[in-house]
Amino acid sequence: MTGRLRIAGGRVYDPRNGVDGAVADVCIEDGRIVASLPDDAPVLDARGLIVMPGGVDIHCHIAGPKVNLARRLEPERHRADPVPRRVVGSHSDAHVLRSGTGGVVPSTFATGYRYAGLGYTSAFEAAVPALAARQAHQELNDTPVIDKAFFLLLGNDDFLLSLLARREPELVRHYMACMLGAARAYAVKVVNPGGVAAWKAGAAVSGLDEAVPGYDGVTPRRIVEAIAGAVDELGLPHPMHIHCNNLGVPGNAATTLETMRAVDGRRAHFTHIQFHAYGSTEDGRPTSRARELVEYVDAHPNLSVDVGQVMFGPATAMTADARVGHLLHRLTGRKWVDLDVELESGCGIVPFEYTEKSYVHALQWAVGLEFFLLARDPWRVVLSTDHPNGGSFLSYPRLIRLLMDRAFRDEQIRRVNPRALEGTALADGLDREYTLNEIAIITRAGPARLLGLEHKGHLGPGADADITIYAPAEDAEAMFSTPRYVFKSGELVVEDGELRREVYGVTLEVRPEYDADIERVLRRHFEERGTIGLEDYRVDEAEVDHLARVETRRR
Amino acid sequence: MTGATTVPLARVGGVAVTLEEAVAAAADVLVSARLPLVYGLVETTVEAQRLAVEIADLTGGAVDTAASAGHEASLLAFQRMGLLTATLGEVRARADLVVFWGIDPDAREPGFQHRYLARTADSPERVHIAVDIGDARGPDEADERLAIPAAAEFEALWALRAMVRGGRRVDEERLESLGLSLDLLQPLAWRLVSCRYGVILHDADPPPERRDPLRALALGALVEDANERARVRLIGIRMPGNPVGAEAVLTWQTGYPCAVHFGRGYPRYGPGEYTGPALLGRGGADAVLLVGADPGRHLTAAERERLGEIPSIVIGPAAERAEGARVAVVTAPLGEAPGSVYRMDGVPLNRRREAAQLTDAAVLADVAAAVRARVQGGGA
Repeated sequence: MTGRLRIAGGRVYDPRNGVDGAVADVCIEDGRIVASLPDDAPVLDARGLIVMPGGVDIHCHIAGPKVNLARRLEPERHRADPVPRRVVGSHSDAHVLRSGTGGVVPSTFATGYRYAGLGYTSAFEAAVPALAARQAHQELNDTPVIDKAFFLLLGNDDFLLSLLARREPELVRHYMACMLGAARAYAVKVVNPGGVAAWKAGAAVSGLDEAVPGYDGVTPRRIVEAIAGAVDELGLPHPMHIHCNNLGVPGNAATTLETMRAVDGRRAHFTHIQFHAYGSTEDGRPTSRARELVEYVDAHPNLSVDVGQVMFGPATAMTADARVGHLLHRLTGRKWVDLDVELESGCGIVPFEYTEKSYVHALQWAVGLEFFLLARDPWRVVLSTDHPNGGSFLSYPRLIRLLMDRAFRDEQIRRVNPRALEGTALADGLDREYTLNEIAIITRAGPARLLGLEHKGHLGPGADADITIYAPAEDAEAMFSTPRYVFKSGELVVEDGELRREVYGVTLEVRPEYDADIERVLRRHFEERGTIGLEDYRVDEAEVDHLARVETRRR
Repeated sequence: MTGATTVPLARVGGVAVTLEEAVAAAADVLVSARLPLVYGLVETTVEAQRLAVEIADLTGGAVDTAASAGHEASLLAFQRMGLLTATLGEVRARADLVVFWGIDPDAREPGFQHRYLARTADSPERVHIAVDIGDARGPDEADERLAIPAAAEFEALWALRAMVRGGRRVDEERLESLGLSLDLLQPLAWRLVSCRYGVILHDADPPPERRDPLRALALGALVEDANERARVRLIGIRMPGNPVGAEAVLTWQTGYPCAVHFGRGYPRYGPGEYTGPALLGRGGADAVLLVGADPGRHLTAAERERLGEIPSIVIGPAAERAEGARVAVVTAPLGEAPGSVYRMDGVPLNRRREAAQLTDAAVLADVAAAVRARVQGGGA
């Protein structure tokens, strides 16, 4: 068979297998890593280079209706960043790559090419309502190179909330499994549990024990307990992925801590934790409470977070937590999209910009860095900007430099609103500098482990041959912006940051088992409450170009 | 299927050929044109739309939907200020106020009111208000109605904004000179801020005589203002077919929802400039691939004439009658083709059915492959 290659003599960073910069060979055969190859296998000389698994983005927004509405909303940003059609290869091997546009919310082809160009080989779209699963898959079908998947929104789901109101929590598990399968999704996402349902009804839910209007006795706490429990029972590879109530609200750290306590030993991944880690001054300004949250997460191995770092520059708020869009619109006066979606969720979109001089933006920037720099266990505090909410995924190399290079960080600290730093750990002069091994953990090995991906985020035998090779450089931003080589499933796709070959990755799904009786109840529910039926929700196998199933492990 | 027995499926220069020959001829036309225009897209599936945009990209052509000239005002309003909206299921479940702003949706999509506005056991008490704008009338069976002279539409919207925001003076004399009055508008303004969940339905694909670049902006602004005091949403009623799918595909593949020009090797957006009618009318396009549109219904007489002057490829049921086309391939109508179609509120559906005839998607897949082979043939 084809696809043999020995990547010889590089410095290998493979934290999951305990390899921290040792000089070693990495062998590829048929798209996988193998322990060894015959001596006559082709060789890529990687002496002096740094070899890591391909990057894994645990939380980003790259497909589905809110992403596409945001694309449509920002022609001015696309205009400034064209992505030309290119021909790669030559003669019989020539292949035309698709054109597109970049900006903060790139077109699908540009998204795939640019992730690959950064050495990222997997990305997880973090919020898709079942009603739009088909669109998300269609966009992912047009997203080249990377492996991908999406998380299914269920924390404000009409049927799920009614099950809780009717005190039938045991059915929650069957319902979740049925909808995950119908949507061909990978994990369960909870956004502002109960809060979006309340918002759409013109009400608010801000505390964990406040009633969600319209659902008798249902509170955010009960939603969190039921979903986290059901995810564990189903043995989904990734735990409940939760965006807490009160995102962005001063004082919300109390809600976040309360939610972490409510999870109570079950597994849960708390996403873009930076946006949920604020105290409040007497006059209602946000302050940092990152330290307490870091300590709580450190002490509870069932919990993990991605940071949701804010990067100065353009961003687009896009969230199923539509309330946040309204707040940002009122704050900034910028254009605003707000969409209510049938039976679950909605979305809010506001393009804007983080500035160094803004107290709130500088505080958010500092809080994110506190999480990275105070975390004792990098395996459970992983990198994200909640692309494009905190900034584009293209800013990851700069973020990596902020973590690795104290002088660079200090220079940046001197430019931000100084009042915002008061009371943060940054004001104490944190001198931590991430090592390459730690970077490999927070961008590869950690996210892959949290996502339950056995074959990703490492370079041991059997792993997918998704490999990024960098030329070491003083400037970590430059180094991580332009990988020397990127391999996707054993194919060389990027050289010197430029795409050399187009491949299409897989879309990952889970299909946990469930009691089919639930479908009977569900059909009636959709008939009574919805405008489309269960069969309309189902995405057929043929609708997804390269589908790959990840097994669940029932507990 | 009428005529399928007498008209050959594929023709080149009016002569029956095999599908392979038609595909090859189409690819030759597209690749040798300086600016091929891929146009139509509204009456075909998402699968076909994906390929149509790819063909425009590979050939450095332009692509536009047959909806864009009418829908442009809504798209530009969206890009300027955003939009507060909802899927139709939310309307059915939540709305206690529905305003039909110069549109009877059942005239566009029969059964619309029954499907999305029927009062069910769960739904709130609901008031339907028809606002007739000149001849553009709301449904006859509305609970209440008011009439606004077509020439006063914008002023009426602006006055409603002022009333909804409160504390702003409305120029009554000016209103009256336009045939409007405070008494006429005040009840509607009051309803918009005192409802629990209000929805304004408007015509997002107006016919040429109803096109007004400011209406969508004014409606959007009114809804934003009213939404500060109640929850109010704006929903555009679309033309039949799959224009929403076309705009979605164009947006995810290029970043722009219509009027995209690939002539410089990357997508450029030119509403009003790179639209199908503009490129046909000015004679910018020197070849056309028409798919998902019927020349009789979607093109003006001048555009049809232009179609006969430059090499054209017509794919679709209309190909039966496309005598002047260089290449014609008859395919199944959208209503009989399997594949994905977006509802007017953006909900993506899959029409699962057996393909009794050739589909647009199947033909375009072959054309795209043939174009790709020709474009890549020369190497880097």
